[in-house]
Amino acid sequence: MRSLSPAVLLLLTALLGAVVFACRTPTVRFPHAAHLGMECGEPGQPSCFTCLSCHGKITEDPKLGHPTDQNCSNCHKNEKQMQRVLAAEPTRAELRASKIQFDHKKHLAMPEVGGQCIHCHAGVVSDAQKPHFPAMSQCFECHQHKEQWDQGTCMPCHRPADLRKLVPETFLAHGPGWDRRHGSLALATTVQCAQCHTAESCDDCHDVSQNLTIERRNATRVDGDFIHPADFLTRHAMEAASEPARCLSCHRTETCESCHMQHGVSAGRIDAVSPHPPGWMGPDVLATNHHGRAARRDILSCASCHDQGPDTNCIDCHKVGGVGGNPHPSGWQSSRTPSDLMCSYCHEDGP
Amino acid sequence: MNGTRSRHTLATSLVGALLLSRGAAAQAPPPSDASASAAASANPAGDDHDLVFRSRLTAAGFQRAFTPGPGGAIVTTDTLAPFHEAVSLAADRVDSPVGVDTLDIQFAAYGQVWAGQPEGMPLSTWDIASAFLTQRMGPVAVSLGRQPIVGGAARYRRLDGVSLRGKTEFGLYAAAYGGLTVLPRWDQWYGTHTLGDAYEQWSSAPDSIITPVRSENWMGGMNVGWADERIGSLGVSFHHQAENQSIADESMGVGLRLGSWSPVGLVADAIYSLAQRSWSDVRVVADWALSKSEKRSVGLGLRGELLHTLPSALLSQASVLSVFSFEQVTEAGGELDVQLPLGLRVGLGAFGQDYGEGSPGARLRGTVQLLTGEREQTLLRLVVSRVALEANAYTQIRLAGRFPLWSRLTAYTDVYQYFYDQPIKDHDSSTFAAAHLGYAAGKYWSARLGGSASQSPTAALDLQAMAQLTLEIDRRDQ
Repeated sequence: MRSLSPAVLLLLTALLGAVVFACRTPTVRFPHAAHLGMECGEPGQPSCFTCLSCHGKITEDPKLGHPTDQNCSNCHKNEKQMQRVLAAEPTRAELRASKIQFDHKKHLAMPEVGGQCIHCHAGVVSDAQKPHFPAMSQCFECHQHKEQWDQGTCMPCHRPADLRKLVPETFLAHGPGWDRRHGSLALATTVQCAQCHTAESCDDCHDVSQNLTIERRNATRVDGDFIHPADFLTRHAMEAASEPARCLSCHRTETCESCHMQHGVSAGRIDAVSPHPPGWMGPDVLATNHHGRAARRDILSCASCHDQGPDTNCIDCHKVGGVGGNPHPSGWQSSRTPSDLMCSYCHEDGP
Repeated sequence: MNGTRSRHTLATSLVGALLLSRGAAAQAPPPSDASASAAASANPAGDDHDLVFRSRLTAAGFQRAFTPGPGGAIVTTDTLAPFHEAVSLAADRVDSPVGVDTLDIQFAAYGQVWAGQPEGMPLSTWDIASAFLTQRMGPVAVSLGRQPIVGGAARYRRLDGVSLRGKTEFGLYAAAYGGLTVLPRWDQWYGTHTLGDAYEQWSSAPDSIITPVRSENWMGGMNVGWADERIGSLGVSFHHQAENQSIADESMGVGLRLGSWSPVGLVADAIYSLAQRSWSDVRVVADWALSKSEKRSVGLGLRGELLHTLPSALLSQASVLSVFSFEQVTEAGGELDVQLPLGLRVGLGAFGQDYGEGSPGARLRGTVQLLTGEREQTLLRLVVSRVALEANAYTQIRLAGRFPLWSRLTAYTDVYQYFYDQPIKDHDSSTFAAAHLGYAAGKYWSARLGGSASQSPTAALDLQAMAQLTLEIDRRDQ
């Protein structure tokens, strides 16, 4: 175990995946288009099908919507093939649709629907690009359920028990990039968020005081892209510089300080070893002094070690009368009052 | 000790309130006033509130990384067995004296115990993450207790206090909040369970810890706006936060969102720092989908982002460093998401950063994902990404998989490989590999068992094991 070979690990994972993929059982799906498009109704031809020819009982109970072998045996005699089609495992879309509480009879009677299933189930036959089951946004096109939406009442379409287990895919879809914009949506959609999420859902990521990282809490979420996966320690300085404000979404500077103290790269430690390269800082103002440029570019990195209030070593030099000069940018102005505690570190009479 | 006692009292009160609520429903006392009468007539079988309880116990085995200590000193190995337990309870639509189905209760807490602790270190810690009641009275709701405040100028905060919000039938909404800031219990951590975590400050310099006075750490704010799911929303917000007698944050926020009428989804959010007199955070996200097929046959999604940040304004304004730099960072980029037949999905993303000073940076990313199987439970995912900066750059390759083995047993694998342009501590790569087994043991219980191994510039070999047991009882499943 001294030397892990990444190539071998990658190969094994790929091989395992390929085996699983190859071993899956192909499923025979019912050819809706062939049945609904067949020649019919003329002398010598079978009766024409409608959706309700096979799914007639859907108007009585959604659980009875699936056809039985009796529907097939009127024309087909191959018992084995019939059973194979009827016994097919439901698809993901079918499983999801089966969780919706929906009154087909009531909706088919609506004038906008006109008894036509195809309005919502166009993908079954007329347009292969459209889904077999309507998206939630389609429900809102006819009758927006505005009152229920505003009140965050998702029943009777959703069962309460399903709410926390469903992931929205059309309305408030949690697709790629959701983590970067969910905060913006949270303010106006608090009531809707609360239908599926408790405060614990927020804490799971944002309460960093629990000392169990989100990656470890969700180690089996291999489809997710978490904030600091794998060897984050090595990369954390680069990540912080790449997106300077992102760390502060969850962390305070104490998070950085605690680790840097241990590794001896903190100004707060007597035996600290400077992590900075030669030429970083010097008493000669004509020297390279890289630290000024770095600080202007990424002050948050400085704060991760040098943010100890009046003990901050930056203001040893950068104070009124100090050798470091004025640290404020050009055009500096402040809304702080002269009595502000922080200003008094450098300005005896305030800013 | 005062903090511990107050947390205990709060937790007891909340759980007690819930139990009393359930108990009252079970005993079905004769109605004594109009509201109780209404409740009884609406729910002849008693209070039918929703109740979700979750308990998650995590146990880790840890082989500490062979990292050098201060000045390159050899660090002795610690053997630790940390246990982390998190519990939560959510009861929605509980009957209350105000009305039927009008009270929501939320409670979440965690505890942590370390076995094998070095002398002088704490053996355990615990805290309440959230504990609050929400009483709805028609269009108005009031929450009391430890709660999160999200969105707008507040971003994400937690307070012990009260929040009030309401919405009219015309879509106008308003909210206000105020209370004491929840202070993380940094001083209670031990924290050597994961690669990179380390002793807390008190382990090296316990005298340097400043115990904040709670009354000097408080926050308040409000937001008003108008929202309609079909048309969109527009709101403004204000947040003020005090920290140890100084202003930590004082900001205004404005947010805009287009509703479902628009073929292009648009979210725009901006925060103006009153203390810095500058925009501290501006972000605009637009996305567009050509088709969204539930058959997962073909689809195309496009997303663009613009982010403009003044990092120093996001520091606590009580920090002296917050007045040292006014350099800003602007990031722009987008992602393309293509859905192909057979469960194949391809994503490409590119973002560029412009800093106030110095060379620009870039992040690039490509993803290929295969989701297959009857219930689309089998997953293979390859991600290649690159982060380029002035100082250094790296390339990441990730291969992840999820493989159902039997009906209740699933295997998960995750392998990462990093290549650094400039060697870090004389190493130009890192490797991380993890594997887990997940088992759904019936309706309420689930478990997972696994571990990881890694090599990096900071660890010759890091081994970790983890077992997790989860109990989740959702009364609505009954």
